[in-house]
Amino acid sequence: MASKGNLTLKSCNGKEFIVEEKVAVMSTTIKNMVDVDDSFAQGVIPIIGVDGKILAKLIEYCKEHAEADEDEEVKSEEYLKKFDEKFVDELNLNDLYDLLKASNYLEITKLLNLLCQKVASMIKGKKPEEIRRIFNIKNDFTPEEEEEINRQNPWAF
Amino acid sequence: MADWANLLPDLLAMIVQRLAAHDFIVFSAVCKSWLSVSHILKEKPEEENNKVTRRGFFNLSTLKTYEFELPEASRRKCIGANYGCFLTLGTDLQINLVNPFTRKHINLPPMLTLEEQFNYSDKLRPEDCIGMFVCKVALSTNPWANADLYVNQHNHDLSSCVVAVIYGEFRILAFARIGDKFVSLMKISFITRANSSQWIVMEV
Repeated sequence: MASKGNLTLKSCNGKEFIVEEKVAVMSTTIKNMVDVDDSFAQGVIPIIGVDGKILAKLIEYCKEHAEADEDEEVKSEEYLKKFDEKFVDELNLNDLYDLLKASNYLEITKLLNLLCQKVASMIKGKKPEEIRRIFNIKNDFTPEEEEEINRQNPWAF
Repeated sequence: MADWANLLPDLLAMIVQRLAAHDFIVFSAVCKSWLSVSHILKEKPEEENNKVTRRGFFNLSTLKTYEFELPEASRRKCIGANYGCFLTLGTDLQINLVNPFTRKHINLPPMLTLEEQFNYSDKLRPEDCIGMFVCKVALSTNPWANADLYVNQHNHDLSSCVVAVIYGEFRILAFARIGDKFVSLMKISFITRANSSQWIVMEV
């Protein structure tokens, strides 16, 4: 049972996290739940489709940012930028994927933007086959279709 | 296992929007699913060019949607009012009061006459501020209550109708008699933002 001002979040594999409300409401989805129904604030909020490992990562991110919003002097913009860079650099590809989906579902806009930017930076300046290799994507174009794409944009490859 | 090829189209779209032209083409050459997302994004501007003139109205009591041909509301933001009217706002900064059933309309004072308006420039265009235009409106009386008695709507006295609007970043309340300028009265910033809602409510 969470004390006043704290919320309990439960991952899909049953791990419970007690977090401060200001941290949890960085997620618009959770904020809306708590705003609409007070009983969520007292009980356990199940976070569907997000496992304990990913939820811990989300909380780590939201905690830093919620604290920075509260006290700009202790956690400056520069500090946050460094934290964000380190946060995304340390993610492996599977975690990046899971976090993208989770931050979208939970509407953590800042994090979602950060992660999309990270994926975009991994695509920038690469060739299609390099991108497929990085993201483990199968080339499902027929040779004819591929030729057509190359023909339309010869300068791009 | 992460399936990047079939990531939610919304998320792929957010990613591809951060890519410049060259990388955008490369993105679409990765696989069929990514190609289809880039197609969706490409088609958007064309859609906007087509003038959509039909508007749907959802009746809460019958739970049905009724469509009207309303070219006057094309590419304009609509805000529901009472007496079966709504406001249309556009990037031309004009405010019009429209009755969707009779298609009659009244021009209200333009948005620039409202106090504390933005200083529009090349950097701050009206289309950047569309979310902060008027967000609520109410009429004191039905402006067209006696209009049928007159051949021309402009001949009958509209000045008995007072329009109240809430507008701007700080949710300012302003009043105007039809035909007069708006007078801003107070800031009511506690009013909940209604911008995200796609629905407009009007009393008929």
